[in-house]
Amino acid sequence: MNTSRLKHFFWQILPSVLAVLSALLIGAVIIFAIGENPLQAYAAMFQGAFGDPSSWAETLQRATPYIFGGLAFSIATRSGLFNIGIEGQMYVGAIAGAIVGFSIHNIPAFLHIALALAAAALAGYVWAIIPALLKVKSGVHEVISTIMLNYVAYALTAYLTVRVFHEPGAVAQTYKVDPSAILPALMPPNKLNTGFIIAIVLAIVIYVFLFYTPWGYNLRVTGLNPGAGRYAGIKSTRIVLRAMLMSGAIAGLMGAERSLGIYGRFINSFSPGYGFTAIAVSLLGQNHPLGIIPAAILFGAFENGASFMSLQVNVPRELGLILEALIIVFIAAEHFFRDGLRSMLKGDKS
Amino acid sequence: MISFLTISIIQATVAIATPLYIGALGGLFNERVGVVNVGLDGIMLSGAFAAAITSYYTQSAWMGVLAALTVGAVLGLLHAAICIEFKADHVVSGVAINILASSLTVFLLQLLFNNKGQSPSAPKIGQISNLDSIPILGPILNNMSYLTIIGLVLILLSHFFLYRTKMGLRLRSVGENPYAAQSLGIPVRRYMYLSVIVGCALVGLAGAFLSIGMLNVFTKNMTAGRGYIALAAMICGRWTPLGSLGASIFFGYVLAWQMNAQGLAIPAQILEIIPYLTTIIVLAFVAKRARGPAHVGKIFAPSEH
Repeated sequence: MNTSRLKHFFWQILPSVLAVLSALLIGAVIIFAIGENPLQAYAAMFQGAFGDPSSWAETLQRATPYIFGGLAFSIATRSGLFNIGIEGQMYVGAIAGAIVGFSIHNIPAFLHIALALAAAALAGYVWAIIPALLKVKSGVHEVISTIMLNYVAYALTAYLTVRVFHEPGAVAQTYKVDPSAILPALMPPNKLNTGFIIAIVLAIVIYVFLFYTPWGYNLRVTGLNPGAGRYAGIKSTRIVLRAMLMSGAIAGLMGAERSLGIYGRFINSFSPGYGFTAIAVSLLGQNHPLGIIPAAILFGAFENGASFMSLQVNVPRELGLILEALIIVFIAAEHFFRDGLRSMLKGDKS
Repeated sequence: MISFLTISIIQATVAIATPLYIGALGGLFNERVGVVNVGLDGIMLSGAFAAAITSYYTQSAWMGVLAALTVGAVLGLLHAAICIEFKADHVVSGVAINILASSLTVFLLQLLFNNKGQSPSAPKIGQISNLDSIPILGPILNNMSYLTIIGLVLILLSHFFLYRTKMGLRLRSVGENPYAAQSLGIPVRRYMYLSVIVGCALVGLAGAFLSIGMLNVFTKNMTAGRGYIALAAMICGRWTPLGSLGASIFFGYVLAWQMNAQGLAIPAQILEIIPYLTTIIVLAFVAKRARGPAHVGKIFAPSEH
């Protein structure tokens, strides 16, 4: 790697590194304020996240939906769309995967899994068609339409769970999927499953797509400057549509990984906000498919480590979530960091 | 007629609509100066939390209201700083506020009360009472929270302010074209900051209604998406105070049915989606007439223009 590429890489990841460090610093102040030792708390957090193979497995398990979600968000963002509807697309994907999982019987596992994943991707895709069409046909901003569709998805999946596929009992959940549709676990008894491998492969595929194919090039140009794209003969409408639909399909897979790999069924309102946290993950990874992987693992580590930490020191495990939120606040101020530091380091007085 | 408009449905409608129209009004003060705020839900949640614990510690509901306004204003300052000063994406800032609010409130619940689910019960805001003697209006007004009335007054005052005062005209011009406004000598940034801070304080107030107006306790994630319905009400009300009020009452009425829906053939989930579907339909079919402020969501960067 030559120096100019290294320099470029440095400037690219610097805001993310600073955001994480700033969040950890504020987190330390919070820990100190409640009368605990920040170093001790962070050490416990690190040990809980990476201390032994089983904690690694749990960290990666928690990171998996964030890899999918980060990829879904980044591909839309790269085309200039803000997909805040990942959560809803994930829900319809999760239930579609589960329905195929418990409705089809006596077929080989690889086929069953493939069908269930395809159904999940299709459901997310269909859920993304609505905002995509509204955007290109009526000029409706995708932020509003996808937020609204999230709630439609919650209600629809709740309806299907409670009224149509309800497994008798007090819990709002569907029937169990057949064993042949379960995504195999990688390190049992941990729930880390082949969905993680699929997520990593998908990240690499999207990386190649974005940076080494003409479609990816067109998508990035459209996102950076729709006007310039049109001058260059790029059909921006079609690209925006395609990016949104790909984003929805990936979000659908994200849901299926949970329903087929973790729960073995669809559970009503199972998500603690994966689709929204995924936005933070994508931004932390600079919307780069390969940057999203470490960002997602970091978030998985925060959540897993914080659980362990809360048993060691008297700090509630929600600290992990607070760190995530602080990171996104600091990422939001990215330009401030980047420009400010650049001018500081270069002695630029302008 | 009787079963569609009983006293209990009217009362439920008003109770559900109150945080919606106060929240929508707050959202409107953000968007009217060009700042998108999808963090309404998180700000509402923070307001609800601040109101409940302040009311619990001071044993005064009005101190709780004051705390909700303050917390809302502080989050508004944060949002304004991120959007205006750091020139960051407004939606990203809103998402950050939502995640921060939902995690920080649970964190503090655990820390203060060793209970992740809810706060201890706290004094609640007063209600109108002893009006039984007045025909028709009496039973409707009875048990109505003072905050409901305050909210209605705020709607009317905001309408007057936005459309009948010079400052209101200037405020709206900032959201339409900040560069033109600036060239006329309007202090654009000051208008943006103040309007976002005041707007977010109102959203905090809407939260106070949830915790110590309707109930007397804060529960984890108690907004349950009401901030987003407020956003929807603002859009369906075409970014005007009176329109937001109308849309909120309509949504409140639809959602009030949920409580009375046991005898109905319509599943509750279908009623739940009506506010969201209405918004999508309004945007899709009357998009030309339902335009928001022209500069909304865009970054104001005078030097680069």
